[in-house]
Amino acid sequence: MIQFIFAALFMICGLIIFILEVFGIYSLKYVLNRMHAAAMGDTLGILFFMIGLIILYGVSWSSLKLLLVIAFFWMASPAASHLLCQLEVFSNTDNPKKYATDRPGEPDLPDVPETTWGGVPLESFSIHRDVQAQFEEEERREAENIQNTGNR
Amino acid sequence: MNNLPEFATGFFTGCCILLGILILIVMIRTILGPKVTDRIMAINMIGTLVMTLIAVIAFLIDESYLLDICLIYAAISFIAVIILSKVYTERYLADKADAKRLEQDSEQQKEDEAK
Repeated sequence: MIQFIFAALFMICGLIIFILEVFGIYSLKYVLNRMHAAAMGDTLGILFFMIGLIILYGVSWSSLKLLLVIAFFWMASPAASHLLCQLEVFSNTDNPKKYATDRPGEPDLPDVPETTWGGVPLESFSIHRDVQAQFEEEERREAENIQNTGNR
Repeated sequence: MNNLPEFATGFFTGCCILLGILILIVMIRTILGPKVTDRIMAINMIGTLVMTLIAVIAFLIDESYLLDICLIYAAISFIAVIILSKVYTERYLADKADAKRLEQDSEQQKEDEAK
């Protein structure tokens, strides 16, 4: 019985954090703010909930599996959030100065890097232009073929 | 499940229902989300909530192999988020590189015309 009470307390804490998380993604206005609320549920909410279930299971293999879930999520969730933030910064073309600091005495952060991304030159990502050039060349060749057949 | 009181099953069922309602509310954010990043973030949150739901159900029906499914679900949702954000990042970078090249080309054309 006392085991169940402790487990239920932890699980209710986890549920409250999940509810706050869902409240947060509707009350906050910008993606990077919403991501904060989402990360809270990914780490603290799942920790409380799994601790509750671990108390219920006692010492067994199931508890080890739940601990593995917590360990995996605590490693995976920050990486996913980091990549999402990177996507947001790269895809925001309205105001590139939005991410610079405006505190006095601090130098402005550099703009979004223009020349390389993780050591890869930016030109290597350009695929559409090559495809378009190839397409134009094919059109030109077709036109030449039509001219040749017309001359014959 | 031996030492539990009688209302334990009701408590776990209530947890399942609450998690299901939360999943539905987050799904509305997936539809509403004004940007791509909103949608991917909401998908990530749905993955977390579904994992919790699977863990509760695994205890409720006393089948511990569902916890393996929970672990695999975590891995797959992580990979989905990683791949989606990588693909979109490279897409935006390609657009940016194209715009830069077009600018360079137009400048060069102006220089040629001036000559």
